[in-house]
Amino acid sequence: MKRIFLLCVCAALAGACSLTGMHESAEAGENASSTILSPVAYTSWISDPDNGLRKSKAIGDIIYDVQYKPYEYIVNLEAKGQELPDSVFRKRCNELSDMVYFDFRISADQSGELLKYQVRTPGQYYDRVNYCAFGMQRNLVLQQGSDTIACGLFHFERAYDAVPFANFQLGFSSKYLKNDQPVTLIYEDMLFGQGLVKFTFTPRELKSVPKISTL
Amino acid sequence: MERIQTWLNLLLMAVLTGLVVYLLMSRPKTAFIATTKVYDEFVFKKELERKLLSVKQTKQRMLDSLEMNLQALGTQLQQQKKPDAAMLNQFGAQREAYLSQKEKFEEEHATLTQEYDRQILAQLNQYIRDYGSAHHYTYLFGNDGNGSMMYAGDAEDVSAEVITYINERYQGMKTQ
Repeated sequence: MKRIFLLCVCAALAGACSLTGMHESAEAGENASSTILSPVAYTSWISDPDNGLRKSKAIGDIIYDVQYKPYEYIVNLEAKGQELPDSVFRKRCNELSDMVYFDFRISADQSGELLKYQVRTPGQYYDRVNYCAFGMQRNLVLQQGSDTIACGLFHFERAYDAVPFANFQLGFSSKYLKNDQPVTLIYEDMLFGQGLVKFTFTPRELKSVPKISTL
Repeated sequence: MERIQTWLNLLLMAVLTGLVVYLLMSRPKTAFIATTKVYDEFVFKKELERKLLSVKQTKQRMLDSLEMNLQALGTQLQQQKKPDAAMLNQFGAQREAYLSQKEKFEEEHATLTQEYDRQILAQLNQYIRDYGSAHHYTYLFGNDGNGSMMYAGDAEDVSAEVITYINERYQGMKTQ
């Protein structure tokens, strides 16, 4: 009887420990905004899907991947991971602040150029290239509540056969965005006909970003 | 002697616990969903349904306008004792245009419905597969009321959880 009681106590302690661990990990996310990271660690943090700023989803063979890019992240990439003087860093962040930026990537479960995926005729391939370069911008919007913001900055990085994905840099005006509401990036897929593809970022995800160390 | 007995008891208990855990883990995990209910509650399906209705209403308004013009012309022709030949020709041309437009809209509507159905099913099937994989199901059955599943206990019905999951996945809130 005594032994059973001891076993129960052990099990209860183990359960309590795991609950405490969960609580700590939730707190860690909330406290991220007060953490200061080195440029390299900061880049890794932003691109880690567990931190909520990078999201992906697969529909059939097609994989969609979105990276939200805080201004500090962009400046850090521009500085190639070098620490910058704080004034220079802030100035560049302010220059970027009239928009919100995303990297959008589409890949398929195959090797080779994405735009050649299940392509039937050369004409269809060139239609896809044309769409990615000029037409796709119309099918991308950012939604917040009942507001829909058109894609104001769009760049298709054409890489031919060098990489098995297509990368798009997107920017949306930040003028009407509110900090306390989720934002949803919506892509109406006219490339592979998968319908609406959505990615929602909560205010908590967008706010709990660590700081980056500067000189 | 008593100490050996204690260790033996502990060992036996550990073996038994391991056996129970193994038996529980090796059992296939199964559940079912009410297919129609899940399909109807899928937000993407509701959005496309609204879009399809809006497209249909716009086209219907155009058709109604053509039909009204045709009726007006028909009434004028009926009122004439000897129908004017030019007006008769105009009526024939308008009637032809109306019928051709109607047929075109019906074809477009059927194509669009088919395309939307394909998109809905592609995403729905993917998210249900993701749900099964994320919750370690061996089998996830669909109960669509056609007799393929004659009975399943309510406790095995995960429709509500699946509806929440697929809609969160569609909105891009939940990553797999």
